[in-house]
Amino acid sequence: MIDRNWIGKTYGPIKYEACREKMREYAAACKDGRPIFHDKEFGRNNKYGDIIAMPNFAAVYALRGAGLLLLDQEIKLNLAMLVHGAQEFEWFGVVKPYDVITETGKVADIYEKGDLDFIVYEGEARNQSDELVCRARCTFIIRGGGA
Amino acid sequence: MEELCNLKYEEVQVGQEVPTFSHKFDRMDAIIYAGAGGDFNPIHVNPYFAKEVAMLPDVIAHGLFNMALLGKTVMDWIGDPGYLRKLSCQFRAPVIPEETVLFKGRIRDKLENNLVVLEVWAEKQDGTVVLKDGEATVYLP
Repeated sequence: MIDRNWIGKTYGPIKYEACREKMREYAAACKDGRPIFHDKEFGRNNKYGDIIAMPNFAAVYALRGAGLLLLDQEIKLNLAMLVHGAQEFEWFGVVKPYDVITETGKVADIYEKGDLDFIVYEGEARNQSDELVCRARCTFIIRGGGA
Repeated sequence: MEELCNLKYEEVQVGQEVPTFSHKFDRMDAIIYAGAGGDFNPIHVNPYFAKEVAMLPDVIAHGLFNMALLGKTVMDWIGDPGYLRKLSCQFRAPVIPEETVLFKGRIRDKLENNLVVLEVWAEKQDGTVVLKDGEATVYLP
């Protein structure tokens, strides 16, 4: 069992500067070639005024704290037995080139079910205008005795 | 100005299905996704590590790659990516190269404020569930 006293431990703030080419690269890697993710002219001529990031790009800008949790030398999760069990993203706005995203995250929950340990990370991403862009919640499962 | 969304809240029905998106996973997909997404865990890109160390049949697709294809499936249907408000799923069976995954969705509920909730999931051709208990919430004008 992972020590439940780690619930509430925070990570960040972590800054991420959104870049047009990285946004395009992510959409292309996810097989999505639609112009709103790639074509600057197309973006300029619709309501967003530029290309936008594929929503799932939140995997890049809103989960950096989760990466810190996995490598946290105080909690020491057993990475060899760890799997990403579930993921949830909630979006409140779009990300455009030059946006500066700030993520803050925390250990939201720790619990066990049978011989599986669960640790839940919650991250919140805000843009340079302090508008909430995305909330991300990821559940990691550690098989056979957590930390 | 070009309209991105071609659906209307009033016109969709509970039970209606989203067009299925089918993708045959190639080992290059995982290498490209590793670069784009920043996850270079060797179980996704190094066949030797995947088989000999992690005891998997081969390299496996990133869960977040599969989830992004699930998001794409919903966005292909709604048209405007900004109308995807929520997406969640559980990662279940691993996907290895040459396996084809079907990404699916169906309207579960119509809420107030023009919000529509879909059940979404992904399965292999033999029915093995890859992404389970997924849910997407979309806004429709």
